[in-house]
Amino acid sequence: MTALTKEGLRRQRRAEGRGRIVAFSVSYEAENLLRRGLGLEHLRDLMTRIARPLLRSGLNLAYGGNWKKADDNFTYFLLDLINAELDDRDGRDSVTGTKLDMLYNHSSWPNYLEITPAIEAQWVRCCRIVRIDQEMAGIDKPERIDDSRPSLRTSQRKLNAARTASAMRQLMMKEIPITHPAGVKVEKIPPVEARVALGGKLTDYAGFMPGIFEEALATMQAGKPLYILGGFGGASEVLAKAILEPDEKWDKLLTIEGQTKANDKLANLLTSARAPVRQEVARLYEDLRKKVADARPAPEVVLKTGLSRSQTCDLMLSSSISLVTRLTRDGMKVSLNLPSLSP
Amino acid sequence: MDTVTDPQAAQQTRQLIPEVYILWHRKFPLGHALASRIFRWLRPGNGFGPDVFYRSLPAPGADENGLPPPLPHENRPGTGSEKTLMASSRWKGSDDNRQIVLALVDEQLVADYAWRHWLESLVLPDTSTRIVLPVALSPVAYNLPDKLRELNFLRPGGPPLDGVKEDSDDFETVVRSLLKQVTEVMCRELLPLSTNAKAGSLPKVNVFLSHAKADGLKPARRLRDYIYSQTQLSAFFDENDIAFGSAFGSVITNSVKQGETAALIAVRSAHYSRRPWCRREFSLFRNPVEAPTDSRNWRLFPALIVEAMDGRELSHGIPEMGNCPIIRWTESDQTLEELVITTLIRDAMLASFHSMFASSFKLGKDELAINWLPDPTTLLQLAPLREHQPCQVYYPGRGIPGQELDVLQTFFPKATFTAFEQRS
Repeated sequence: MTALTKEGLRRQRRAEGRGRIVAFSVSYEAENLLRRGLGLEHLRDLMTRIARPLLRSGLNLAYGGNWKKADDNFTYFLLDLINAELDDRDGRDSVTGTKLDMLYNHSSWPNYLEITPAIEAQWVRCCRIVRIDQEMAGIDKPERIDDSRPSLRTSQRKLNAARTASAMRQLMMKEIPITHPAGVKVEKIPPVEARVALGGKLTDYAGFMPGIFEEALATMQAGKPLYILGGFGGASEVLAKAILEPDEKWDKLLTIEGQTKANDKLANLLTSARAPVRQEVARLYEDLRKKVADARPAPEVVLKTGLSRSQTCDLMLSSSISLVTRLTRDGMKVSLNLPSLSP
Repeated sequence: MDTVTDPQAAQQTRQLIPEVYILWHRKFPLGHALASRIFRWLRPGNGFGPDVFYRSLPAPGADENGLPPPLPHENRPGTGSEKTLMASSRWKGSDDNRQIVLALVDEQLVADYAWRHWLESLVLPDTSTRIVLPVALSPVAYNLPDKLRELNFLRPGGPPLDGVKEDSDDFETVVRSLLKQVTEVMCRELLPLSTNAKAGSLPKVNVFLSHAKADGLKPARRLRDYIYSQTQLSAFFDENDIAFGSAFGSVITNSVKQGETAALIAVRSAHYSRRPWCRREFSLFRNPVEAPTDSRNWRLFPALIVEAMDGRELSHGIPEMGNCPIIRWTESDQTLEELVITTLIRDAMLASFHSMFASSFKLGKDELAINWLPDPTTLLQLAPLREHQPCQVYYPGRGIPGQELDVLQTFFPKATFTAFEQRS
């Protein structure tokens, strides 16, 4: 029992998070979960059990989902969770001025073109949509596709979409300044401080590599804590197994050759890309393999989980929701220095 | 029905924490949709209700025609280390849990030798740790091996499922019937047995129908008639508008002492809030009672509000109703009474589950456990909270939203509120 008042306790907890961002790279693949005796309902349970304590400790969330109304769309699910925690009195961290109780929805071109002002206005109090456009991705002007005609030049559009998605994953790990018209202060989107990865497509993805691979790589390169919940299948499982149970089967999936074999879209993308882009993609895969190799002797160190080695292994391999949620919370308590983080 | 018939043994079985496994053949097209509906019914949100797990597709890396991952403590040759990391109950070690296995039986399952064999192996002679409940979803479901055929099947009504789509009315009809039967069987397994129960008897549930006669008797009568004709529940219905009276409180206390269950339906019509006896009834019912064996373990029986106001009628809220669930009454809906009663007994089952779970806690001097979601009105009935004593309150689920916690902490500044899940 604490002697602090309710407001004092709340302020203390919220001061720990200071509006820092934890990103969720989570996707629902029915088959992967069913093979483990689980369903969408369990995944929602897991998200709540990890996300809510983070919100209560003053952290914000990032989730790059779309805005289509669907059962397995976690954008609305997280927004509902955040809405239930909103508190007008504590709306900002007193030191940094960062808005609390926020979902950062990083959205790369052309995906954000589908977000209507009505959607943005509806959620404006608890969601900041961060648009990563072609210019931010470093795409030269002549190669850019006009926003008003995104359906033209199909192969170039797909290539630009992959490049902006790739750039977005890197940019998320840094502070993103957003300039507004003259007279309005430059807005700074805080960097992602930790990431939770679960599931993830291994085929039919539209980028240069499975999104989870790219996001995990960006997180490791930024030296931020990465929680790979590999026990639920998908790209996260491949990463976890490649680190903990090295085998040719997993290693192959970390190569361009392995991925082009599994995904025709990637082969087509690379065909339409110019040499510098292809080289960039090759380097991405090389970096990923290097990071995975670095993590093998001491995953808890490279992934900065804040857990012991055996706990980190359990976190990465277990299909038990109660175990992985507890370990993720325990780990973040240490890695993000959140003494008050509790369920 | 494959139930424990010795009352003492039955009570002991009820001390185990139940967890539900839903099984269906990987080729049964509606299996996942049905399982998902059962899940959402038994776990209506926020961590309420027993754990529910699925078994359908083979485990990762297993033969594509293989069986799903084994249940905890199932001895199946060829299964190994994955057991320890496989999804299982969040509450305790599985040794302490009781598995309730709902097998959705279609023709694919019956025709599959491996599945038939597996299901048969799941039937244990001792039902205290696992009970298997087959659900007949095809006329050939009864062609399962003898050991399973001897069990009582759940038989959801409605049309045959062949060619039925998930978003069709026919599917909804089957779901409705299935959920009703699952609820009844879960109540049979989870609700306490009366101390006076004879061998083989069922848990007793007394349903009170509270209503304002001035607004008519239609909804209350329909509910009463449904209870009499379609259920084995006892209904208390004040047809003559004679209030249940002061005896009401003692009925509830005695229900607890005798291991019976009480549940209340309040038909909230325009005059309900202006009828002192209606409010008194409701208030008495929402008075928490101590568990017979532990004065720190508090119970509240479920109440369901049926919103039966007509047209543009104006009425007032009633603070005593706290965060009770509400369902809207529509006279033209011919199956609404079934939904109301099934929801009420589902909530009775959940309340019993949470009491059962709370009784496994070793509570300290300043701690107490409740089996309902906390709200100021009900908590004010508990002396330590009313008197602002330092107190740790454990409540079901995984935690209430921050906005609700703020309200509670304003009312009870010296209390801290912790969800069951936060405790483990």
